[in-house]
Amino acid sequence: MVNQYSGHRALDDVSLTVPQGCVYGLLGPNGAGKTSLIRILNRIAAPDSGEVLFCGKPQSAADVCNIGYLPEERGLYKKMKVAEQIVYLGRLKGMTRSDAITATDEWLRRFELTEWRNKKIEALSKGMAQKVQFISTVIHRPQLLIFDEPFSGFDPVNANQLKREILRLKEEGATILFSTHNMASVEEVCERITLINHAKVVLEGDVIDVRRRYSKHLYDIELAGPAPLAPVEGLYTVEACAANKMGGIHAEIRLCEGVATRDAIAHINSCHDLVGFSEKLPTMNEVFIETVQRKEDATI
Amino acid sequence: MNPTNNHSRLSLIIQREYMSIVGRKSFIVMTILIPLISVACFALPGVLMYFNTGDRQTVAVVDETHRLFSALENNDDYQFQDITSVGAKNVHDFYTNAENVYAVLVIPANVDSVPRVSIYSNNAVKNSLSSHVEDCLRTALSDERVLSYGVPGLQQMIDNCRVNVAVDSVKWTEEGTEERSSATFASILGMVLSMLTYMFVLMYGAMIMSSVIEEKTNRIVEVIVSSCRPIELMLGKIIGVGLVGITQIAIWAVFLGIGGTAFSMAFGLSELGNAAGAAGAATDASSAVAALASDSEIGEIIEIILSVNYVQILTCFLLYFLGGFLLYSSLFAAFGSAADQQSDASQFTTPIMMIMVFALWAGIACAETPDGNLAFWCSMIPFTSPIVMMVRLPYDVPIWEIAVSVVALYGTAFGIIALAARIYRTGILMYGKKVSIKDVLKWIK
Repeated sequence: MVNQYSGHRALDDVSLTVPQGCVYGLLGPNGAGKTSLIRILNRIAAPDSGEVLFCGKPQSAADVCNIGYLPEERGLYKKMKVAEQIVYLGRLKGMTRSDAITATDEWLRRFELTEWRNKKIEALSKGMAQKVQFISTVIHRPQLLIFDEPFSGFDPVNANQLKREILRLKEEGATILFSTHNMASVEEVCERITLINHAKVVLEGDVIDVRRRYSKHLYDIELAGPAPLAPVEGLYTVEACAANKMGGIHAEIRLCEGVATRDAIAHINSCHDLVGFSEKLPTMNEVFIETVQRKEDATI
Repeated sequence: MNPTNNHSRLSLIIQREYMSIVGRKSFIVMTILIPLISVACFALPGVLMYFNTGDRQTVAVVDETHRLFSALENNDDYQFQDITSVGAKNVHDFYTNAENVYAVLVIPANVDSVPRVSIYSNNAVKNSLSSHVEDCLRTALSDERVLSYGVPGLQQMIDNCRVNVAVDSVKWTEEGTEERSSATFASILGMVLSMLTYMFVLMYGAMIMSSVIEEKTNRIVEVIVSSCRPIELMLGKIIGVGLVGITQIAIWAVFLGIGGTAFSMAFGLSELGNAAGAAGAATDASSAVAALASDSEIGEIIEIILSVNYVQILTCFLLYFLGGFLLYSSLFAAFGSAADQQSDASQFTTPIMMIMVFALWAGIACAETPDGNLAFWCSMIPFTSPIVMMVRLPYDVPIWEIAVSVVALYGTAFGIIALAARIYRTGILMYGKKVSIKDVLKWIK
């Protein structure tokens, strides 16, 4: 499945491709145009120009039945009963009544909400209502799931359950598009990301690739002995150096331009008792902040 | 998974909107309560009067003429007590000392030349007392005057001189036959139907608006429009709520039918009894005449009621009702979508309300002159025609006028729906921004 989209002013010539079966992160600061993009994918709004390809074909109105959308601002009919509500939303997406009822019962069991089946939404706690909303997003087994900040409003236990369910849906072949600010969850579940800022794509690629691309050549070093690590001209500089809990030394070094990792290791190993060495990749959080700020600086 | 066809999706939305109102307890309660309340409003004064007979009040009378006291008849509400011996000057003392005396009536000695009496009380004197006293004294005094002329049989002559004139309005039909009709009945029917239209359009229009605003404020709308087109949601809402209105009217019609049948059955039975009484033991000539007279009067009323062309009026009522509902409810839906919360919807509803109130007043004015210019134009202009035409209909409006006005109404209604859909589409996804009418007009483009 390929979702391609090229756009307009709220989105300036944005084009992205979401491979089938992938968990895809759509990142960007507030007001970057994520919601506009998502609304276009859902056919809630129409692009001024450009098009959306769904499974390689231009998206048609019938394709909305293969999309499940969890908007950032959650909402359900407060006066409707839990099961009634899920069945209604499922049927709007083209399910038959009996299919929708079967699937609803199954999902309610999975989220341990069966006894709330005939309660009105307004009687539910916020967390439970969120689960009901999640169920109504996935009830019709869509090929593409679009989650806008799915974890907001969940406690850690429920967030974990949600994460498991999302990954299970992915195993079953669904493609998942995340829009989020929560970079930790991006690192955990997303395979690819696109970062949008000021209506433009500023970064795209595999999560690991992206982090490597933003690598500052920083490495964490663990030494067994108490002797501090000294910088070596032309090889590396020492960014930080302190005693660790095991009576050894923890240091952070930055390799100089063009230095191979193994040369640095060889050098440290020759004069210290090296017990740990790992590359310190920037977190997605750092990548995000750096990219967005670089952009801000460029515009100033 | 099959792609949904639009038709079943629309009917699904209609179903939900319909059930979300009809399933509510408040709907059932209101459907029963509204007719009860309106019946109660008419019946209450009578019922209160009926139950009010319990405590009879005493009215003390100082009769300085010494002859009129006997003319005051005790009735269910008041009994009269002669205290002439107390004297007119001491009535206040008497009143303050006496218990259970409601009021004091003083009839001065010169009442036959200056017909004026006074009632004193600590409370405001009830209308029923003063009118009862007036009735009794008027009869007594005028009888006295008639007698004072000394002409034998004068009372009889005066009674014979009282003539009541009944005006029958008879309409010539196109075939030249005569048909009784009553302008009063026709105009009452027209007013009732136009009031019904007015009430329903406002009530259900407001219901649609609050439902739109509710969907918007609890954000469900974003989920719904990711499954269907906004116009489907809007139409589903309008049709669903419209069906609720029709359901309610149908329930009331059934109520009315049951009530009417019960009434006419009770009425028919008493009629039968009357006829039997008149035929069987017609010893008392006057009672037989009375029975006959009431018979023919009832016949006339029935003829008048039947003279109205119900098929035409009810068909037109449904047409105008639906057209007006579509027109106004799509406006309500559009403006509801532009409002962020219930409270700032008023800037949009005020113009709609003004048009509707104008239409209602035009309707009332047109009841007086159903053939006038105002009536003609207001029954052609779509925004006022659903109300004004209902008033005119009982007066035989030419078919072409009805046709033009219905076409204009539906044409405009569908045009407004199209415009409303554009506003709605943009409005429902607009959050946290105060929208002015100017913005709304921009969305149409």
